Amino acid sequence: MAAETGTPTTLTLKSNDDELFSVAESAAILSVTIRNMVEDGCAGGVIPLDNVDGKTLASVITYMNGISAIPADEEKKKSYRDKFLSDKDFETLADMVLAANYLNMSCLMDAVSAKIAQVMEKKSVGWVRRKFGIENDYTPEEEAAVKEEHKWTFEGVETDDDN
Amino acid sequence: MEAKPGSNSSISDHHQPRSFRRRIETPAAAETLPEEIIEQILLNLPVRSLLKFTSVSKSWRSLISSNRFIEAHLEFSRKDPNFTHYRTISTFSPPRNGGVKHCSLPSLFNGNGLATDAVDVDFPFDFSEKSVRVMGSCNGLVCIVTHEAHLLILLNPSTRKFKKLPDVCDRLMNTIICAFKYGFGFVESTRDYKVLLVCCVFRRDSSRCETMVKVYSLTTNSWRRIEFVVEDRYGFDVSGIFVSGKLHWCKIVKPESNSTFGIDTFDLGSEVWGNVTQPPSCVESGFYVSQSLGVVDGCLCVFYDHPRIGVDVWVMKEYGVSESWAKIVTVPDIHLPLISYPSNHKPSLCVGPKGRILFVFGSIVLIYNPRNNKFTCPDMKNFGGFLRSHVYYESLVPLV
Repeated sequence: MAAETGTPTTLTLKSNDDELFSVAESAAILSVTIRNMVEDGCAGGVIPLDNVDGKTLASVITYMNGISAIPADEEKKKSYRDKFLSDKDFETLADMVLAANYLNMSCLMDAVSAKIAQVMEKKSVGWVRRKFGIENDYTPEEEAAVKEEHKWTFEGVETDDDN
Repeated sequence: MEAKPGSNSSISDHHQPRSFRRRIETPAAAETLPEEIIEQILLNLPVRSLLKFTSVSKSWRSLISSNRFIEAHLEFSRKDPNFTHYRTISTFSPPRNGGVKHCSLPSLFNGNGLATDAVDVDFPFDFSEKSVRVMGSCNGLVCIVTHEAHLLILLNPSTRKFKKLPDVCDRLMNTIICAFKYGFGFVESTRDYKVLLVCCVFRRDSSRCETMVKVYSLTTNSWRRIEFVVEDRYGFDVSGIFVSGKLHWCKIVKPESNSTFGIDTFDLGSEVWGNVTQPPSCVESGFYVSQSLGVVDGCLCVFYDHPRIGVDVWVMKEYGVSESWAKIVTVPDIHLPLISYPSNHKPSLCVGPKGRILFVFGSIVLIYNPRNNKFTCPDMKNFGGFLRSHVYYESLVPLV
């Protein structure tokens, strides 16, 4: 595709809050969603990405550029992904996992899912309910019984530092 | 997915839809995650955290307890290129109190020679007879046998659930059981776990001695006696290596016969005995004093111990295809002073991150890096000498 012409093809992506981004096609097609649009010939103008906001899209494009600059070396790619995600907070990670899912980028999806799990691992049940917006549908008796069943798993749970 | 407006907990669930979340006015991204994404995130969690999060809500509990999720989590853990949820479980020689320890595989591989912690396995039951050995592991379950009473236990160290197997023989008969062979594995077609025991039962009252083969099925929770057709001498207390649905043991070589050894197999599904050919040129590098079996990366392997030379490791890359035997490495003798591991210490190994191979010989832990052909020895705290290490990965597999 791009390589044959000598000059790399650039795509323009539009976030759902109308920000425009230029990105090399070779990096953008890490997203299967975008690749399909390019292959279907929809990439002539601006590619609208209705489910991704500008802040998240900027971050995803940073990732696309970073990871596609690394040659086929899975260890280097892994350390890039680890570093890329290391300073992201829970809310940003949640935005990114939704974006990666929508854009169909399995490598980013896997890495962000693993990172979210790492953040959750030692958190309390209350923290998870708050962060994921989950209703506690247990009666107090039921909840006590479920907790009692796996009592040992509550040792060493982090105290909630944010609400 | 409809949900009611934000309300506090402790409401009776009878009128509530089974939902993962409630709707609030300006939901953050995390509160809008579809179920399949939540499930993908949960697959990354260790078993301990998953059990804790069964308290989050009824729908999380039913997801985490579902067979579909348990199997997906098992596959995810098994295939994880970082081996995050892999552990070794080791037993000691001679057996001693609290004689089972586990250690996470990434901590062994990433220790760069720094001390790694080995922790005692926390038995979830009152264990008066703590001298135990691990006889096999499969899908995150381990089969444990107590040293004297031949009490067999299946344990999931990650969920801390366990099951004591029924007695092999009627204990009232005043019998002594002497075990020749053990094995533990999984039957894919029936989704059943089975334990094999080849033993000699000695009746004190009649002075009669009888050899028998019994198979335990977790589904029926009972032992069944099966036909005995192995003509080989049986060895003693040998645990079979579970690969491709079959248990494997080295055949004992008769000194007078000039033959090389063979590998006996027992198919846990069909309950048929058989054999596998050994590496074709296993004796090319001369005399070896002992051989034993192992499993590496899901493949059957054989160790040949050549005194003062080293240990050759052969792997059958494609199960049942004798042409696929290949020697992957010789661990030089210098790394394995023979004096430190009596011959009954079975080597154990596994492939870890970046293709590196972990070897456990007696009390020695070695990591071989095929890229630079170098060996390193991570230092393990609280470890001491042990008889045998098994590698398992965490799973939610229930013992029912």
